Amino acid sequence: MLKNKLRILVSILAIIFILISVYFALIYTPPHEIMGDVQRIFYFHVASAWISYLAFGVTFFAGVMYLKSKDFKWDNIAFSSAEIGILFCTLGIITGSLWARPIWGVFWRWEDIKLFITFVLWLIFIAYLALRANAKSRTSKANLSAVFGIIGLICIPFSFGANRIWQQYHPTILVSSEGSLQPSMALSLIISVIAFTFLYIYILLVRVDIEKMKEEIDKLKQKVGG
Amino acid sequence: MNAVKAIFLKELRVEFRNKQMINSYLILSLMIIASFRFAFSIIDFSITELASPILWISFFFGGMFSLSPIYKREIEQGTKEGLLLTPISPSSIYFGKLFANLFIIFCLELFILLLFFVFFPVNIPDLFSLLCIIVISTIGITALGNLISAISSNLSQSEVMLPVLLVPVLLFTVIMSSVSVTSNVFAGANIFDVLDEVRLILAFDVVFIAVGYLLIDYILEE
Amino acid sequence: MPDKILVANNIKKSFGFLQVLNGVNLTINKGDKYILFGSNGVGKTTLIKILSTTLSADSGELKIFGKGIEKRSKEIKNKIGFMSHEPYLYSELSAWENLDFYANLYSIKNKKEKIGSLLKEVGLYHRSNDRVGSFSRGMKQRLSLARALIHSPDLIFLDEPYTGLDIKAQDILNNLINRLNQEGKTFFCITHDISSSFNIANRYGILSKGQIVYETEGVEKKIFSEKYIEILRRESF
Repeated sequence: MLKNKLRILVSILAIIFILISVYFALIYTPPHEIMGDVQRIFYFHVASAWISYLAFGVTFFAGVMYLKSKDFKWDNIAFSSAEIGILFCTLGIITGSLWARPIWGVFWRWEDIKLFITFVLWLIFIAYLALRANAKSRTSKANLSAVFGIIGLICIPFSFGANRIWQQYHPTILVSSEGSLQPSMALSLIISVIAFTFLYIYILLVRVDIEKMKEEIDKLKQKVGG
Repeated sequence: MNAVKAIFLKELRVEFRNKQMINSYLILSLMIIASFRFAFSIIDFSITELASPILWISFFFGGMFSLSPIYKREIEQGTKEGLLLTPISPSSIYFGKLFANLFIIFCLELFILLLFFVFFPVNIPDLFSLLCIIVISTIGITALGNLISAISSNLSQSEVMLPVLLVPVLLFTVIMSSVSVTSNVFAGANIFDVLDEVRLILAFDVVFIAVGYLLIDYILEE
Repeated sequence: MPDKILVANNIKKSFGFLQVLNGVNLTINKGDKYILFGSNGVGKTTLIKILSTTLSADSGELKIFGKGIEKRSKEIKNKIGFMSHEPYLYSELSAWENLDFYANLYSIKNKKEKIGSLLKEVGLYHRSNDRVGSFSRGMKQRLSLARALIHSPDLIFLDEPYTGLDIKAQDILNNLINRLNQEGKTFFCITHDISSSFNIANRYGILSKGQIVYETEGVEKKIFSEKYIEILRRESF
C-alpha cells in the first residue's frame, strides 16, 4: 500500500517538475547570448545525460548487491535501470548532436571526452542487454550480467585515461562554445535535472514491478504445469 | 599453486595437440593482415601513422579467436563439472587458463608481428620498447578477455557474444591507449618517453587480474 | 546406530517451469551400497548432481559427513568421488595424462603408483599412452571410474555406470565395488536398469515424480521388479 502511495507521489512530482521545467527552459530563461534559442535543448540534454549516468551507476550498485545477497530483487533493479539508462543515453546523444550541429558545425566530435565516455557507456550497456538476452537460465542471467555490469563500470576510468592519451597525440583546437551561464539558466538546468530524476525513479519503480509480475506469472505457470 | 600449474599444462597440451586449431589461428592472422594490406593498397597512406592501429586491430581479432574456446571447451566436453568437483578454488582455474592463454597469444602476436613487417615494411626505431608495450598490454587484454570468455561460454550464441562483450570493454580502454603509445614508438619515442601512458596500461593489468580473481567464482558456479 | 554419511532433507529443484525434484528425503549410512532406480527423465541425474555438490538445490537441507555443503568445503570434495554420465575426460590427452591431471588437482602423493594400479584395475594399463579420443564408450566409462577413485574417496556416486559396459567390464566394476565396499567405502548408484545392477547392492530405492516413493533392504529381485513395474505403470497415468 505504502509502495503504491510512494509511486503516485513520485509520478505527481515528476509531472509537476516537468511542467515547471518546460516553462523555465522555453519561456522563463532568455535566449543564450551567443547560441540563441538552440541552446534551450541543452536543459533536456544535460538532464538526459545525467539520468543515463545515474541509471548505469544504479545498475552497477544493484549488481554488487545481487552478488552479495543472491536476491533476484536486485537483479530486477539492475536490469530495469540499465534499460532506462540506454533510453536516456540515446536521448542524450541525439539531443547533444542536434545541439552540436549548429554550434560546432558537426554532429559529433570524437575528441570530446564527455561524448566519448557517453558513447562507450552506451555500447557497454547495449552489450549488457545482449548478454541478458542470450543467458540460458535465470540464475546465470543474473550472475553473468551483474559481473559484466561491474566490469563495464570499472572500464570507464580507463576509457577516460585512454581518451586523454589519445588527445595528447591528436591535438585539436577547442571551439569555445560555453559562453556564460546566467543565473536563470542555471536555475532552469537544476529544475530540469530534478524533473528528470523524478521521472527516472517513477519509470524504475514501474519497470521493476513489471519484472516482478513476470516472475509471478512464471511461478503460476509452473504451478499449473505440474 | 599446484593446481594452477596442472591446469596451465593441461590447457597447453590440449591446445597444441589440436593441430587444426593452431593452424586456423595462424591462417586467420594471415588473412587479417592481408585484408588490411588490401584495404590500404588503394589509397596513399603513411605507414608510420597507420602501423599502430593496424597492428592492434590484428592482435585484437587474432587473439579473440584463441580466447573463445578456452572455457567453452570445458562445457562442450562436459569437463567443467569434473573441475568443479575437485577441491581446487575457481581462481586457480582462472589463473591456469590465463597463463596458458597468455602463452598462446604471445606466440600468435609474434607471428602477426612477423607477417606485419612482411606486408607493411615499416621502420622501427626501437624494437625493445615496442615489444615491451605489446607484452604489457597483452597481459591486460588477456586478463579481461579471459574473464569475458568465461562469461560468453555460458551464453547461447557464444561465438557472437564474445566479440559483442569484448569490443566495448577492451577497444575503448586498453587497446586505445596501446594504439596511441605504439604510434609514438613508431614515430621514434622509446618506452621511457611514454612512461605515464604505460603506467595506465599497467594499472589496467593489475585491476583486471584482481577483478578476475574476485569475480570468477560467480561466473563458474551454476 | 549406523554412521550417517549423507542426510538429505526435502531437496527441491526446478528448471524454469519444470519441477524436477519435489522434496527428496534420503539417508545413506556408512558401508551402504544404495541403488536408486527410476525411469528416464525422472530427476535421477539432477539428484545425484545435487548430492555430489556439483549442482545446488533450490531448497532443502543436505549434510555430507555431518557438515552442511554451503561453504564449498574442500574437505567434503576430497571425500567424494563421482562417476558421472559424462566421463569428465579430455579427449586430447592420454589415459595416463588425464588421471595425472586429476591427481594434481587433488594433490595426491605418490601419484605414479596410484595411477598405475588404478589403470591396471580397470584393465586399461596397456592403453595408458593412447589418447582418450580414440577410446570406446565402455573404455571411457572405465577410465572415468578410475578418475572418480583417484583420491580414494569415502563416498562414491555412480550415474548409470553400466551403460556401454560389456559383461567383462561389468565384472570388473562389480568386483571393484565389492572390494572397496569391504574396505569401508560407501556407494550410491542411480540407474534405470535392474537386470545388471541389482545383485551388487544392499539397499534399494525408487524415484518417481521427483520423490523417493519406495525404499527397501535385502529383497528378492523378482519382488522388487514387480514393485518397480507397478510404480512405473502408475507414473504414466
